[in-house]
Amino acid sequence: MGRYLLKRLSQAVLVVISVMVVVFVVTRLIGDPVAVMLPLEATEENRALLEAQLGLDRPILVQLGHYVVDAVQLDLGDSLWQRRPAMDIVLERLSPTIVLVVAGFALGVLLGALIGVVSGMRPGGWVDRVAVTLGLLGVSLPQFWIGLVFIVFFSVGLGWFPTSGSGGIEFLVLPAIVLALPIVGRIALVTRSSMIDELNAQHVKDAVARGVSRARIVMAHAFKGAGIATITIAGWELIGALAGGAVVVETVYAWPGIGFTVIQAIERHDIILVQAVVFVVAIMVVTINIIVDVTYTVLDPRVKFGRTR
Amino acid sequence: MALFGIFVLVLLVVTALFAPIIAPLDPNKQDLGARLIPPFYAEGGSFAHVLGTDQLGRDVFSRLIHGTRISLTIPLVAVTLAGIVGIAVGLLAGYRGGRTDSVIMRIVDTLFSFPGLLLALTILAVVGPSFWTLAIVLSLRIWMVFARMTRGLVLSAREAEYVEAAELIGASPVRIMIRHIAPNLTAPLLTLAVLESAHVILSEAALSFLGLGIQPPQTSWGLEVAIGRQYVFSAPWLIIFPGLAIAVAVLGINLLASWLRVAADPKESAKRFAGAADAPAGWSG
Repeated sequence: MGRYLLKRLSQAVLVVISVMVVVFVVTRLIGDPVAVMLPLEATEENRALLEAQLGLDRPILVQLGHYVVDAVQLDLGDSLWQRRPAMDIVLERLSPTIVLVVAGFALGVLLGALIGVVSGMRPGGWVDRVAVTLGLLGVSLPQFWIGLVFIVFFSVGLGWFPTSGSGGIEFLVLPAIVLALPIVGRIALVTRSSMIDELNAQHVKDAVARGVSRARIVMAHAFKGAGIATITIAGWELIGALAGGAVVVETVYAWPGIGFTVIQAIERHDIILVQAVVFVVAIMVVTINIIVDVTYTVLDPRVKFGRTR
Repeated sequence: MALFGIFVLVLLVVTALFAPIIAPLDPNKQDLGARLIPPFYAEGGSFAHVLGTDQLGRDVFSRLIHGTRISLTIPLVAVTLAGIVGIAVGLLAGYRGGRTDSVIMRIVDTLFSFPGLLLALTILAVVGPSFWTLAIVLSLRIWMVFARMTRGLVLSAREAEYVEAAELIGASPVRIMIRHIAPNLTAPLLTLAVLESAHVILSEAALSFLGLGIQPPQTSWGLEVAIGRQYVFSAPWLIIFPGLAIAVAVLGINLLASWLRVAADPKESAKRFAGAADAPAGWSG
């Protein structure tokens, strides 16, 4: 277990480093950060000044070296927009994102697993048909659109919730539901599919023959097996919500998290701040990956530590 | 359900191909005297502009029809690029095995842990959004899926006795690849391509909505929603219809993909949504 964790940790560090190298290459070599940051009427002197300020006039390898050393010390430079350390801004904006992602993720997984188990019990029945249709809708509706439709309907039409912004719990309801929708869909479809497999498996048939009650068969026998597939998908969903869904949902609802921040930073051509958000999210993504892998290994005795796929 | 999927797909392709004929009006023709006219069913609307007009008096229905072109070509281009690269890499890894395989798969696993959409946003913000950067960035997000699946399929096909037999009688690797292994790959990879194009449509729409995808004067459904967002309270039809178009397209493609998956794998047919009630309860592949 110790060796396994050490190996996974070193892989995680490798992932974060490669994400940062990709960002570095894209911003310094393919793109021209100075041209993006400066206004159109900037003179050649303005340009040289900003280049020197950002250290972009040094040889590329020296830049890469400084960049890595700074990143290890969690120093990603000053935001051009707010003129203070980018890392401070990201850490301030991190907790609203965590609140939103945790709420949406928990809602999505619980509701999805429930729908999946119930519909998997009787495939083809009317409950199943409704559930599969809802699941497919959940994965097919664009989040930014359903977010706007909810604002028009629930906030403007019915006046139940505020249109956007942050404050009390009432601000969280709509964004959390919108973030949860595709998660509900995918978790429900996957859980349903593996429930059907499990209910057809030999050990479940044996239990039926032994006269075990239906409730016990569904929960203790079938869901125990199906749950492993659900957890694997749930890990992906959490990562997707953090690195994708949150950006879209926060932008629609002006929720002051890192997703909204990254869009604001892009609009203000603040590459340094964008870079800091990507860095923090990359660290969170690899951490979630490790947690999912360990959970998976603990739950499924067939998977041995250290054996990957 | 699959029929609905095929119907939607055919409808979309026909719409994209014949957009100028189907669209009643020029999508870019401004008419400032006829701004923000509501759709036909609402008060003040008429069949002159079936789905109303936008803030510049352009016909929403005609813009939607023309938007189909970009919203369909982006997934087509992105999935083709991703498929070519991914399948080539997967074939190499699966057929060579050994060190080549482990190095390639290590890289693929690393890429799977990248924060996808966020990285795409960053690249587009720095490089500048255009049709081609968008298609390439979106294909960069999905080529690994094709690589991983191709490798898995090649590995299991190599185990087959007819492949061993072909190797024994001295067939060349290229011949084994094309004659014996490739036919096993077609159906699953096609299904994957259909499924991934649904993902790409959603990603393109989201990126265009965030202002980092398709740029005016070109148009796509996601971009239409982004522009309509400023008028969401006074003119909700500007976002409703393009969003519906995305939803119907993605739903249709998803239905088609799940039908293809079932058709390609008899094990799955027990779970088939329609008709599953007729299957015997204890049936298993």
